[in-house]
Amino acid sequence: MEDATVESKQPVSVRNLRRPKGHISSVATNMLHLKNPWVTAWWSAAFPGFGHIILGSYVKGFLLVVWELLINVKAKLNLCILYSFGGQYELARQVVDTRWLLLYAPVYVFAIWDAYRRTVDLNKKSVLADREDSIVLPSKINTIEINTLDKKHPWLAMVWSAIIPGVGHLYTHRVPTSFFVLIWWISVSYLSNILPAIHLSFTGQFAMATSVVDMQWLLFLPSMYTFAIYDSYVNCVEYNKLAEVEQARFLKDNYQSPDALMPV
Amino acid sequence: MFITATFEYSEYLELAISELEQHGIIRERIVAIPLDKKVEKRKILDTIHRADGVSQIDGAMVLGAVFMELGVVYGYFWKLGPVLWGLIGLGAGALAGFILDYYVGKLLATGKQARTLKKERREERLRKWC
Repeated sequence: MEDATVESKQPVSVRNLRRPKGHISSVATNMLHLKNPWVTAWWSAAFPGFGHIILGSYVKGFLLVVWELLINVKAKLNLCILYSFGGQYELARQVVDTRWLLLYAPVYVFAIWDAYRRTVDLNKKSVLADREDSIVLPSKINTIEINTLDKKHPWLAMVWSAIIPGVGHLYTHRVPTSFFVLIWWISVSYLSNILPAIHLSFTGQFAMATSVVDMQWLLFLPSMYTFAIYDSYVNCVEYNKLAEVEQARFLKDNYQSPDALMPV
Repeated sequence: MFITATFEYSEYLELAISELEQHGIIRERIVAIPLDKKVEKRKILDTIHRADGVSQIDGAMVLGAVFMELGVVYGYFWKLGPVLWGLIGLGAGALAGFILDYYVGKLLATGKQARTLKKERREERLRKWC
């Protein structure tokens, strides 16, 4: 009984701080929303770190992405995968660099497991924040950026990401993701020679296209490309939902006076 | 006199309310009531005004990535090369994932409609009288 009175004395501001729904900074809106843990685990399997970036856990996510790029390239793991799938097992054995290879597996498995675990954990906090009806202030303006919670078109986020990964996130104002995706996309496109290969493929010079690409780098691109489309779309939808919840709360708090006359 | 109107959630709604206040209608005489729809027909893509919370893109992008990766790998050994096979893989995988999601989702939705459709479209109803 005494516990209950102590709890009721906790002001709403403190309760909201305990169970925040999100945080709006000038460069990004980071928020909790329900996600399927298998989906974040899957993105971590596709590219370690992506699951964490989906969750808004940027520092861990970028650490894992840089780790993936470094160890995979040094161990020549993508080439090993390529030759293994192509049935050239001897070549697969020769190409891999055993000075790096064993570093790969533990962190890879950790990234998948941690993305799953963290999603389950954050889902609980998301439900609690919803039940607490935590306040999110919908604007943040500072010296260098402006971020306002407003509604955007999810299909536009997808299309921009499909045209050039990273730009869809600029549209939804998730600047950290955009910044890193643009950097990876430009670097890996350049290093994989995909752009000349696209010119050659679309002019029918298929053998040339195959010979010009660097498969070690090219195999990074499919997951980066689909991730950018997926993540910008999901963020856009979730930001829209948050904007609606925030506005509904504002209206309830300010435009439901008990003194108002209601039509019978 | 009562005036009622319905709005989608948007900044235009707040502009409309503040416009009323500019015209001297006091806040206490304006009532805004969020409308929650219990069940809504599923849409393929969420749009700016509605999100049903049932993602149709998870499966499409997951299988899209898998088949794009496989397309790039095997395309390297096949005639059309890794770029075109990668794009073919993306298209085929996304389509397969979407169809799978759509039909599995539909089965779930008809079974337990109320529970599956967690987030319904909400509208604002604005009442004003003077």
